[in-house]
Amino acid sequence: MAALRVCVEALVVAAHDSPAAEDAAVVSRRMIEADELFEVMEGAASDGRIRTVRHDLMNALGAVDNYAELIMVDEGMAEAGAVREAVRRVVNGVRDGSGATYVDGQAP
Amino acid sequence: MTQQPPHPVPSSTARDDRLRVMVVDDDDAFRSFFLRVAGRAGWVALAVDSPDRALAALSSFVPHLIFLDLSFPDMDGLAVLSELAPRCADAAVTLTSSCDPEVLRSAHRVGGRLGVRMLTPLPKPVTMDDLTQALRAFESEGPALTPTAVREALDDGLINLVYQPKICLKSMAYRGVEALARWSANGTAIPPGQFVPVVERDESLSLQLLTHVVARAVSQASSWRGAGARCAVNMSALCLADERLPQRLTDTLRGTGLSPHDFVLELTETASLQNPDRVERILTGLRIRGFTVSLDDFGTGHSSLMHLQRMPVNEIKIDQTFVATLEDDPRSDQIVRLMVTLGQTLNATTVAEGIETEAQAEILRGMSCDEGQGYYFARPMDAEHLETWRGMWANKQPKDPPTAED
Repeated sequence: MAALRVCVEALVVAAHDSPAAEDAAVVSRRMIEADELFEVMEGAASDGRIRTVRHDLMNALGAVDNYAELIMVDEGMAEAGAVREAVRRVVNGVRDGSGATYVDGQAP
Repeated sequence: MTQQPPHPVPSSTARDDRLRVMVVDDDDAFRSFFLRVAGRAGWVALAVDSPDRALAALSSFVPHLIFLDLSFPDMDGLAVLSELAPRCADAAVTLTSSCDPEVLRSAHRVGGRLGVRMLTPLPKPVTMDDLTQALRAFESEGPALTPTAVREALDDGLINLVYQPKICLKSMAYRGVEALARWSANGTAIPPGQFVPVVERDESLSLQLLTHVVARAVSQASSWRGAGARCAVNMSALCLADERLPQRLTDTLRGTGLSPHDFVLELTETASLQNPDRVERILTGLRIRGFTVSLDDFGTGHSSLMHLQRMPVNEIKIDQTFVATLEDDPRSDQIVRLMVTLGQTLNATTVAEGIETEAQAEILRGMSCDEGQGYYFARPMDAEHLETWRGMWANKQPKDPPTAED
């Protein structure tokens, strides 16, 4: 998530004052949400909320990817491509169940 | 809150020829994203945040395609599909979800069995590329055949019959035909592969087609009827939801001079069978009235030994995939041999379909398979050509008198 966060921050800066600013704002907002959900994932496993939290996390990550894709297609910004790459890695980590214990190859 | 699409939804969808897509998802960002992508693809889109709003919008928006999330706070996607099925017979559904891919595939199958036209599901996160490809794929398939279109074709007399002869493998005597539905409009044939699956997802349409085929076969009986000859018609397992089926079919034959003994009901799509007790009851009712009940595609995933145990069938149709490899594959030979033996043990007639060569016919005759059907004997033909063919076939056969075993 740390690598993804860095990529999102870079995108927001690059999109500042551009036609992509509004979409970049969505990326930023959903990134914050994804961060919060990722934090609670491990705790959710022990109290049965894991399915709901995972669903919401995937929605948040999906939104980060979707709006980065829009920026990439419409504005051709390389930073958007980097965000998408980073999201893929996080999504794959969540899918394979490694969740909170594996983040971009590093412990959180 | 229901979002408005970028382009206003026409007050009358009948005036807008563009394709219409509905997305049902509780994530607002995804809904907005979807509307933008669908708009770029030239579709009219409607985004709703709950199953209740989706169901409410169905009759006014009339979507061609629905993207449906599997997870909602108050209702899961399967429950939504159950509600959708009777109300959106003409719409296709693509499931989206972040849950396990196996769960998504299972939900997809459930939707199909509910009679909904299910398209390839999309695991989340769904990308612009995924959505665009799904919309383009739907467009390129052309307007989907809908149950409504098939009903209209039946009412307009556009669905007629061709007949493929069945032959006794021992004596090579004509044994009857299988009646096959063919749809032709303005000189263009609609392949059975396109409209039969539509029928087999719809209970009332399955029944309507069955009675249509029987009635049509009755009207053309002079072409196929003969000593001991019977007409086989395909009967979707969905027809077995109607307890009155035996009586309905008997009523169709009343006053025609034909009886249930003149017909074989080939049971198809047994994968969709539900309520084994009711199925057994209805099939027994059909047998009591004199119909032959045949288990079609025997040996495939749809027809299994479990079906044989519960169903009073008196004919087994060996699937053509086994016949096709008889000459080259010793395992196919063994499997078909077992099926024939099984038929004999159960006192059921065995019919091999898809016979294309003399060698296949000889092998099956050697196994004591009772009847055969396939291009080796004849392709499906209309009633007029069938009469001519029968004359030619009879002239080709040895003139020995038939024995009791024939």
